[in-house]
Amino acid sequence: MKRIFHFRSSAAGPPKAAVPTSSHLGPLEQRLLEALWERRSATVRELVDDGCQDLAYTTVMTTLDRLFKKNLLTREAEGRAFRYCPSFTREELHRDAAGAAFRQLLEASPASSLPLSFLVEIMTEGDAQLLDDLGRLVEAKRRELRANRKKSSGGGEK
Amino acid sequence: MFLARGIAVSFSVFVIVYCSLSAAVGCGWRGLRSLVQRQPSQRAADFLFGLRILPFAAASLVTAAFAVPSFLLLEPRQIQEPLGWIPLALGACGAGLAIFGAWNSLVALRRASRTIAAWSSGAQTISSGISVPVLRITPVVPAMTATGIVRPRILLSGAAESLLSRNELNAALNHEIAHVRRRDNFRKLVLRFVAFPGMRGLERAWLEASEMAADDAAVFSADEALELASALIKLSRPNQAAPEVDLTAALVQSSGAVMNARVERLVAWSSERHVPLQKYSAWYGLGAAVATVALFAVTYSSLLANVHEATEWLVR
Repeated sequence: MKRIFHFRSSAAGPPKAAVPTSSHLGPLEQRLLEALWERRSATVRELVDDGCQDLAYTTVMTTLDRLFKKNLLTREAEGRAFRYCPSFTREELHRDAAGAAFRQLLEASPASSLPLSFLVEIMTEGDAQLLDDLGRLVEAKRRELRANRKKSSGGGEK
Repeated sequence: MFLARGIAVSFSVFVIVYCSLSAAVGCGWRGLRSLVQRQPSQRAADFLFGLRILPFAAASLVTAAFAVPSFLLLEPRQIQEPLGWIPLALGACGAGLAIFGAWNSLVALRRASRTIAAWSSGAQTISSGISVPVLRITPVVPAMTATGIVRPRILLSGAAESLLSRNELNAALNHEIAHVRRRDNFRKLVLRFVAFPGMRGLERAWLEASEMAADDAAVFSADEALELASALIKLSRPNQAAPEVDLTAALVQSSGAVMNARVERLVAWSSERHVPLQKYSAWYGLGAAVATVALFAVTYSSLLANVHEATEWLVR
């Protein structure tokens, strides 16, 4: 089996070759990543003191280390602690998640046009659903107008 | 040499004003969005279109009213002054912009006329009793679209005609007539001529506003609004949706989100929203014109001298 070794320095972080997928992030990992996107960079202490007071210091530290190992964060030594920065923007990560899902879909079938046709079908179904909903909205308004008209003409007769 | 210098200086002034104003409008128009959204749809559409062409109009006005006269009146013809590289480069940019604009418009016109000719082959005129000719076309798409700039026509597919009820058809036709009356296809051609990077968002906003303005102009009661909404929904089904074609105004061409917004607006139609736009008295316009002329009469010569000084600095 072919094995690939990455030599990673703790200061510079992993190489920025490809955006890793965010599809398997846990809720805590997502929360801390969001917090880092907000701040751009933070130490464990800064996160615990501001915004993540409900989390233990060690929990934040372990989760950030896990995100770093997943290539989602870079870190620099700052005194005796690390300062963490997101490796990718929110958009890059979402784009990659969508790309990974599409690639998986395309690889799932021997005929690459088949999954694409499923995709078009799903989108068309979505459009049709939206149009049905709008149609029901128009019908409901029509009934309301008719009822109001009946009511006012009934009131007039009395 | 005098003529070449004059042309280069005029184009340079045009490019400087045009590019600065375009950058300002491209960056700043979003700041006016909330103000525009509070306006009636027709006024909002007009405002967005005015904002979009403001850089071109202002640059043309400044060049024609100040740069050219100041050069012709104040530049000595005998002096053989060499042209610097700045006016030459800016002049080339100006000429390039004009050529690109003309080419872009011609391409759009040619593409549109080809597509419309293909759609209209074998079309029959329908006696609809409205001012704009309506042609029944054989292709399924476009379901309904307003075409033409000088001689506008409405194309209606036989499939759409049979799909829509009489009231829905009338409401949809009124929508297209509103596009014709507002000269939206001509405005699209103008936008082609003044194409500039970074203006896509503003142009899209104008397109959305113009669709809503046509919706508002087409209906006069809640029932008519519902008929138009119903027609929009029927013609938005996947096999009816039209591809986007240059210089035409299809009934159903907008994205899903805009369609949704249009239908929701029509469902929530109220007579209060359909208040005719307040017409300002012609006296206001006349007063403003007189004031402007008076102001220019007093300051024009000094303005020309200042502009000439600025262009001299530019040439050096």
